[in-house]
Formats: sequence, C-alpha cells, structure tokens
Amino acid sequence: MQYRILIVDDSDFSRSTIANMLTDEKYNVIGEAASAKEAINILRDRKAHVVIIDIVMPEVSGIELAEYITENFQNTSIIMISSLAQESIVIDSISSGASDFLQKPFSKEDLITSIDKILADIQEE
Amino acid sequence: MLESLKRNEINAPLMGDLDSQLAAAVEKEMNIYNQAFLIEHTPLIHTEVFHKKTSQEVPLSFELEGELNGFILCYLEADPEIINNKNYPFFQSLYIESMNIALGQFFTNLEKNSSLLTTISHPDINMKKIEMIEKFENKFRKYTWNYKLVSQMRELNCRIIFLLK
Repeated sequence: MQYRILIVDDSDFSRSTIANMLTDEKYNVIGEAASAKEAINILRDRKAHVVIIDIVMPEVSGIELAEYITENFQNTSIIMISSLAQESIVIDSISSGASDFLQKPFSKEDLITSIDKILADIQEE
Repeated sequence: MLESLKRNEINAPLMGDLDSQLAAAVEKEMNIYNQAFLIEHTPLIHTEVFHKKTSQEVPLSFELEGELNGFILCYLEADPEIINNKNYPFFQSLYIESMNIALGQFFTNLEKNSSLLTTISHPDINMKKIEMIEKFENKFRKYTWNYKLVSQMRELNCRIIFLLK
C-alpha cells in the first residue's frame, strides 16, 4: 500500500527538500502546496493520509489550516513543521489537531519516524 | 506597519542585559538539510551604523511580534562569480529558507534562555517594504551579525540586522 502525503510550505526549497526525503516507494507525494488555499484545493481532489504543514505562511497560517483539515478531512493526519519551536507554538500545533511537530531543519530519519508512527497508529485504529 | 513607523513609536528602553541575551541566542553553525551550512562570521553586536542594501545584495525582511517588536533585514551578497542566472533560483530559495531557519532557531533559543517570547513572520522580498524599513532605520535600536552561507563548495556572505522598537 502506498501512503499519500501532501506537503504545504511557502518555501520552494523546503517543499522540494521534504519531497526528496520521501522517495521510498511506500510514500506517494500527491502534491506540494505553497499556501493553505492550494492545499485545500488539492485535498478536495485527492485524499491524503498525512499532510505536512509549515506553521508560518502568508495569509492563512499553518495552525488555521490544520484546524480546517481536522474539521473537514477527518481521516487525514497532520505533522506541523516550523523553524520556531517555542513551547507555545508546539502546544498550539497539537491543539489544532496535529499528531506531531518537527522543528526545521529536521533529518530524513526524523520525518520518516514521525510519518510511520502516525500510519501505525491509524492501522491500529 | 507604515503608520507605526511614521509615528516613531518606540517602546520603553530595553532591559540592560538584552544585548547579552541576544548574543547568547545565536547559533554558531547550522546544517541546512545537508545542502548548506550557516557559519557565524561576525558575532551579534549592538550598532548605531546602518548600511542600506548594496546593488549586489539580495534583501529579505521579517516582522517581529511578541516581547520584541520590529523588523529583521537580511542581505545576501550575490557574488557574480558564484551566482549566475542559472543557479540564482536555487541560491535564492536556499538563502530564504536558511535565514528562516537561523532566525527560528535564534528566537527558540532566546525563549529557552531568557523567556522572551517572540515570533517571526514569513519571509518577505517586497522591495518597497524593505526600502521603507531602511528609510526609518534611525528610529530603531539596531543589532547586527553575519553568517557565511556555504553550499556546493562556495561561500556567500549574509548579514542580518535587527531593528527593534
């Protein structure tokens, strides 16, 4: 089974770096979005198991997007990412419905561990 | 933002030990996803001197919110012997994300060490906004430090300027 993943980040560099970490055949990056609006449009067309969301983005923040996804796409899990990792930001991320938080720059191993843990939890349910 | 600049809003004097708290929050070296390194070149200092963007520099701004307010200006020296039309998009996007990561780590460290909670906006390359911030630089308390951005066996200078209200 391939797991569908969506990457949401306003940074081109960050999106391509994350996509390059997910080359294993069990992951299928279904899209890369530079904004919350683009992300929602992609999710309406294609379901994702996991959405990786940058917190600080122009217009709609990653936290607001995570809240929207949690309410409207109930079988989609979220990993929040940010260069800022103050306690309040991590708490806001988890409160918005995210399953995990990774501080940038993270390693490929950290990202895959986070995704696989979420997918294992989904399978257990 | 502009109204605030025009009104010359500056908060009460900053804490006496702020300079050392800021200096302690700087990461000396950062690995940017194994594609680049940021290496501190000159340490963070309080300064009265402000150099506007030169013709060779690529500027970037962030807004600060929280216990520290103001702006951050970053300038990448786009050395023409290194950066050309072909590799410019790569270096520009690497530079923007590297500054985002360096500043995110800086304010994360600052909160851990000094309990000062400050967040940064998304990076902004709007030249009119950057020129306006530069125009009013004398209204702010200024701090500066430099990194070398090392990627593909090449070094580029990055200077960072904090403009605090």
